[in-house]
Amino acid sequence: MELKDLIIKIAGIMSISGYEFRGFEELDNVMYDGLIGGGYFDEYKTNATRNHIYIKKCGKPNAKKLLIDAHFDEIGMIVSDIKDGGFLTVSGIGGIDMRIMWASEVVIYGKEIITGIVVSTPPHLQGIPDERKWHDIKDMLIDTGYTKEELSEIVEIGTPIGFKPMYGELMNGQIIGKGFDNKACAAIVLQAVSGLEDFDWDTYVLLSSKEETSRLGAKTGVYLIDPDAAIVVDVNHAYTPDTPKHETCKMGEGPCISISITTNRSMTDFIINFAKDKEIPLQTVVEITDTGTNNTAITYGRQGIPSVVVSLPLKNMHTASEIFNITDAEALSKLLSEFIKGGLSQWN
Amino acid sequence: MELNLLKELTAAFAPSGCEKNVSDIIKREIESYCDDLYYTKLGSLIAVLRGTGNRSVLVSAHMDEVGFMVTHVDDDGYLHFGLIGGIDSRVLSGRRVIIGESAMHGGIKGIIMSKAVHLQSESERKEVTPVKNMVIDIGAKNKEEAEKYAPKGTFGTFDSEFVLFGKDNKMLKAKAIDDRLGCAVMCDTIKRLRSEGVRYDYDIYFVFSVHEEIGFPGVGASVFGIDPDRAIVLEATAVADIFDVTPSMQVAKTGEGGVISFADLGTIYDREFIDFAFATGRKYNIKCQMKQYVSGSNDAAHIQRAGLGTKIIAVSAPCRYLHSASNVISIEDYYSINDLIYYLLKDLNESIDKI
Repeated sequence: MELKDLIIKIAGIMSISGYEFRGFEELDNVMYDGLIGGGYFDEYKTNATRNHIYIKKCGKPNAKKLLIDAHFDEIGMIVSDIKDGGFLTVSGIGGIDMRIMWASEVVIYGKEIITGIVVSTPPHLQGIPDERKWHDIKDMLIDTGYTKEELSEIVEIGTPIGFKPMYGELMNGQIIGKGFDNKACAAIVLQAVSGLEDFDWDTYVLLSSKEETSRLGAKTGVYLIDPDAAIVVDVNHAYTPDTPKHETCKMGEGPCISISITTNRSMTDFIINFAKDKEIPLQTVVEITDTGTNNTAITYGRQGIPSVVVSLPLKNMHTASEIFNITDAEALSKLLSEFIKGGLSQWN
Repeated sequence: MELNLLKELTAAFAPSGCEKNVSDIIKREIESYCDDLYYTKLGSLIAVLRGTGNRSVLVSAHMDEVGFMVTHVDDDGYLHFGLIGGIDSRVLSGRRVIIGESAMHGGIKGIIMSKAVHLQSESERKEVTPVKNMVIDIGAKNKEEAEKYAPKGTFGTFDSEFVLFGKDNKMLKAKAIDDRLGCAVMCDTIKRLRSEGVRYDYDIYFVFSVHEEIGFPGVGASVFGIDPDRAIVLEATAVADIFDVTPSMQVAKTGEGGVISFADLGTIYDREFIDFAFATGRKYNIKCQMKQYVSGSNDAAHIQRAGLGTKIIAVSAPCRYLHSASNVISIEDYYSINDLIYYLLKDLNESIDKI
């Protein structure tokens, strides 16, 4: 399956933190005949915190265990109240940016799946005093086109709401859409691991829950798996004109690896050299004490797990129009599969 | 009445100064129904249904929509832009846009960039980004590549699908309902009148105008050659019919029919003509409503002042989230405005001297 299609399929699944299980069937059937049914993985596990774990066995005795984490949840909203005229108020799940919400389209995952439009009525009409300031997400309304009574049949308090999935392409293989944080990486990992042959470590793909809110999935997942080493795969901010160059990576110049106190330096250095040998482009980013990913949950899990963070450059993170470059995604997939096959047992 | 024409018209790429895509569609639709069809020097399209007398009634709607123009391409290949028409900067961040030409004609996609929420400072999260600090990303590698597709002066519009939603799909969301809805109503009316073969005492001039969104008298220039006895402007008006807005400031209600203004910021409309419009609505049981709030302005101001002046009314579609990527209307209002215009023209034949 083309990586681009796999990414778009998985990113389109509704998996707002706390609702990661609703899309399980879609996820499990994302490759022909199913991830397990089609023989892409040997085993599936879940646990109380709703992680999805796909296991690929190497078939060798006393094999070590590698954990590859890619969180499966995404940001979104939940309904907090149903108002007269069929308007909804919401609470944010994860970091919602008010600045991109007005006049946007959302999907309301109630008993039926319905469309909502975020109200952009000028504040001077809504009686909100300062027009040049954004207000809290609690002041935001979603227009549904139903009456309150009709809407109450479809939606309840707690119903999840997500960005509308709309996928497209800019120039130079740059793909746009929602949910690439972090389901683009979930797809990359599934593709890289599902095709593995002749490798030395049993590989546990942890599609973890609730990274956007509490990193709960990574904490329990690392305990369950108890790996010998871990790779965290997440997205990273790509440079845009309003961001500092030293805090971002470059789009289209390959995936990144984090240099950080919370990641394993020898494994990081090994991968940097390994990528050079294999002629896979790899950028480095320095994130001294916090990679902003599941990495800390994993490094400090069990008795301590050596881990690295590799990432996919992404623009407009947490919006309905996140952008990644397909060549970066392909390079990341290649780096992961090559490293598991040929690098891991050399490093340790 | 089908929605295909409205769908095609709202999808067309036509910020002010770039109306040809819309006028091509309109021309194709109505050409075979009109007695006369011509372009003015500024690009307005005028369709004439001849009557038997020597008077004339003008009906107008504007073809242009709000949009963007590229002002500068930077070294990283990002497009800096300015606005065409009044767009609130708060509806821009994160929206998708089409740059260059319509999607149908190979326009390219772009996104109005938004710095990730993670990288914003506490104060930035509260501040509205000014348009001068926004850029459009088209995926170009550098300035040279970007300029191949979108040099300075290139037009842009919102990229927004035509979506029916709400109970029984009775609501519509699209871009440019302001004022393609008016254009669609005029096309429908021309076809309806001609297919019935009626001829009134007066000529009817249907003016599909240019440059409304930038506030200049694009339509006024068209009117000099017509000098109409009565005029009807078809528009979309911003409404805020939301529970937490003071009722007197809601302007009008979606689903309650065409909005007839007593006055807006550009025009005081003709009172007798307004009363006649409401009487027509009552007579044929067509919903219409009085605008509750003095706001906005439209081509009526220019038509009313052209030549010796004319008696004028405006009938507007109540539209939520005007001048954004997501204009929202009730489909019923499209149908009721269609009926109101049809019967207004019919009854004017008897009553034109009384108002």
